[in-house]
Amino acid sequence: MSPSASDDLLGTILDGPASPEDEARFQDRLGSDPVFRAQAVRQLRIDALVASLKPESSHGTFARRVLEQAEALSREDENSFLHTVRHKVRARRARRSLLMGTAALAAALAAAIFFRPAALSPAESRAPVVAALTFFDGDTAASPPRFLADRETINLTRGRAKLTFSSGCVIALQAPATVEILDDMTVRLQKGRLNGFCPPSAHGFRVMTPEASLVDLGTSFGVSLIGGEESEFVVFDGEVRVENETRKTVLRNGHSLRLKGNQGPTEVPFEGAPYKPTWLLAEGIVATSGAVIPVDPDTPEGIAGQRDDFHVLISPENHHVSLDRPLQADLREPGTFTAGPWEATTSLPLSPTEVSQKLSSFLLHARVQRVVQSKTDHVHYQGSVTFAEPVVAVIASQNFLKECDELFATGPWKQIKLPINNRGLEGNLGAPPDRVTLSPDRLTLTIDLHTGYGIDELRVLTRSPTQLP
Amino acid sequence: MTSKLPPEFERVVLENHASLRFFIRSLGVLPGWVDDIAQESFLLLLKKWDHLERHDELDSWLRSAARNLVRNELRIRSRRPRLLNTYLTSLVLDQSTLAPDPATYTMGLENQSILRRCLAALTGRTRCIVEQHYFEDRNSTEIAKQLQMKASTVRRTLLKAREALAACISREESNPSEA
Repeated sequence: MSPSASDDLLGTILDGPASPEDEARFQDRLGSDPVFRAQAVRQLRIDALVASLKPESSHGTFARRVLEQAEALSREDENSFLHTVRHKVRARRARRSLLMGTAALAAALAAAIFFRPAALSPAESRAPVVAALTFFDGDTAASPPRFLADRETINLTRGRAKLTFSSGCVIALQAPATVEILDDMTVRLQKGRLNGFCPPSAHGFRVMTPEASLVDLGTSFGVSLIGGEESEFVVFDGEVRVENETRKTVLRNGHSLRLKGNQGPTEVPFEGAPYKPTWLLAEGIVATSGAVIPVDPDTPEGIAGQRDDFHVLISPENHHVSLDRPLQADLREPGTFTAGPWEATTSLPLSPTEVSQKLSSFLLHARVQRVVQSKTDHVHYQGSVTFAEPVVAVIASQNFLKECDELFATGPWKQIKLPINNRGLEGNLGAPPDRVTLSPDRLTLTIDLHTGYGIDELRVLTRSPTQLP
Repeated sequence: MTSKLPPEFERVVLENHASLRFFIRSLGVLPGWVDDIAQESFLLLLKKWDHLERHDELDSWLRSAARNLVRNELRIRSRRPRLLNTYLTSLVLDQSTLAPDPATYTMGLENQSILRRCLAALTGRTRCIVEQHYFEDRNSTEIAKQLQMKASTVRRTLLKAREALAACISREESNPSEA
C-alpha cells in the first residue's frame, strides 16, 4: 500500500465515515505493520489532546451533571444503585439516538434533557453551589464565605471581593464594581474591574461586557469597563479569546485590547499596574506589611525580572500543582522555623500520598543592591504576608528549594545574576539567624531576615482554591 | 438540604474529569460517548468510595475503571459502534506501551500552552479545518462542503495536522527554551 493510500485509510477510520471494507483493511494493516500501528496510536493521542482544548466543551457543566447525578444516586437505596446507573445511562443514550435524527431540534432538546433534574423529587432537589463569595475590607481578614446557588448580581461598594466558582475559576473584584453571576462558567461585568485566574477545569470560562466577551483558554486575565463605553481586556498569563458579534481575537500574555461600542478591537500598551489589588487577590495574596511587598502584575517573564533593593518581593508562581514527588520542607505547622546550617540537615517530608490537594506556590525574594562590606554586613528585613488559602508548607533551605524549582517556579533562574547557590535562609554571622513564623490560622507568614551576600529566598505552598461544599 | 456526597467527592470530580475524558478518548472511544463513560467511572467511584482504603490516587483508580468500562464496550457486540475501531482499542488496552501515560496527561492538561502554540504554528487553512473539526464539531463532509473541497482532502489535512502537532509538541518538550 502506498503512503498516500495508507494515510487515506487512517484518515477514513479516524474522521470517517468508514465502510466495513475500510475497517477490515485497517485491521489487517494494524496487525501487520508496526509503523502504521504506531502512527495510528499517535494520531489517537493527538486527537484526544486537541479535543481537550475545546473551549466550549462545558467542563463545568459536565462536572455539575456528574455531581447532580451522584447526589441523586447517593440518596437512593444502595441495592438499586447499579441498576439505576445503568438504567439512566441507557435512557439517556436512547434519547440521544432519537435526537440525532432531528438536527434542527437537537440543541434545544439536548439542553432540556441536560438540565432536567433527573429522577429527583422536589424535596430531594438541591441547587448546586455555583460560587463562594468572600469579602475583604482593607487588609483585615476575610469574611466567612457566602455560597451562591443561583444567578445573582454582586454590587461591591467598598473593599474587595473574591468569587471562587465550582468550575475552579477565581474572580477578584475591587469596589466600585458590579458583576452578575450567570452560572459557574459565566459572569457579566456591569461596572468596574475584575481579575480572573482559571485552572484547566475552568477553561472556557466567560466574562461578558457590553462590548464583547472574554473566553478563558487557560490563563490569568483582567477585564475593565472604562467610562461606561469601552471594555479593556488584559492577559497576564496564558491566553484568552475576545469576541464580539463580528470578530474573534486570540489575545496572548503581555497584550491588551480595547473595544468601544461596535468598533473593532484596538491593541493598547500592556499595563498591569491598575489591576494590582484584584490581580493579587485572584492570585491568592490578601495583604502584605512591613518590608514585604508584592510584585507588580506582569507576565511570568516580567515578574522574574522585577527587582527591589529595599524590600522583600513576593510573587505568585504556579497554581494547581499536583505533588508528583516527595519533597522536603522546613515548616509544616503553625510555629517558627529558625534557619540553621548552610544546607539543612533535618527536614519535614512532604509526600504526594499525604498532600493530595492541588497546591499554589509563592516565592519571597530578598536581595541587597549596595556593596556588602563584610560577612557580618546585613540588611534587616521584617514583614508579613497574608494568603487567601491556608499554608501547607514553607520551603526555606537552599537544598530543599532546588528540589522543587522544577515543579513550582515560573521565572527563568538564569536571569538572576547572583550566585544561585546562595538562595535559601541560613544562620548569619554577627546577626540572629533568619526566622519564619506561620500564624495559628495558617494564613499569615511573618519573616525576620538578615540579608547580606547573595539573596534570601523562600517558597510558600498554599492550598489551591478548588473546594466548594 | 445537606449533601450526602463524601466531602472530597466534588473536588475529585473537578480535578479529574478533564484528564479522565482525555484518557477515554485516547482509548479510541468515539467523541459522543466519552462523557458517558467518564460519568459512569465517577459514579462507580462513588459506589466504591467507602471501601477504598486510600483517597489519594483516585486519578489512577478512575483510569482503571474507565479502562474496564471500555473493555465492556468491546465485549458487547451491540456497543461496538461506540468505538472508532475495536481492534485499535484492543491494541491500546492490551499493550501498556501504547496506553497514554501520566506524563501525557500532564502535558495535555497542565501545559496546554505548548499545544496552543503548536496549533498557532499551523497554516491558516489547516488551522481553520482543525478548529472546525474539534471546536465546532463538524465532520469532514460538512467542512468539505463549506470550504468547497473534497472530504478526502479534509481528512488528509486533519491527519497531516495531527502529525505536525505531534512533531511540534515533541520538539517543544525536548527544547522548552525555544518555546
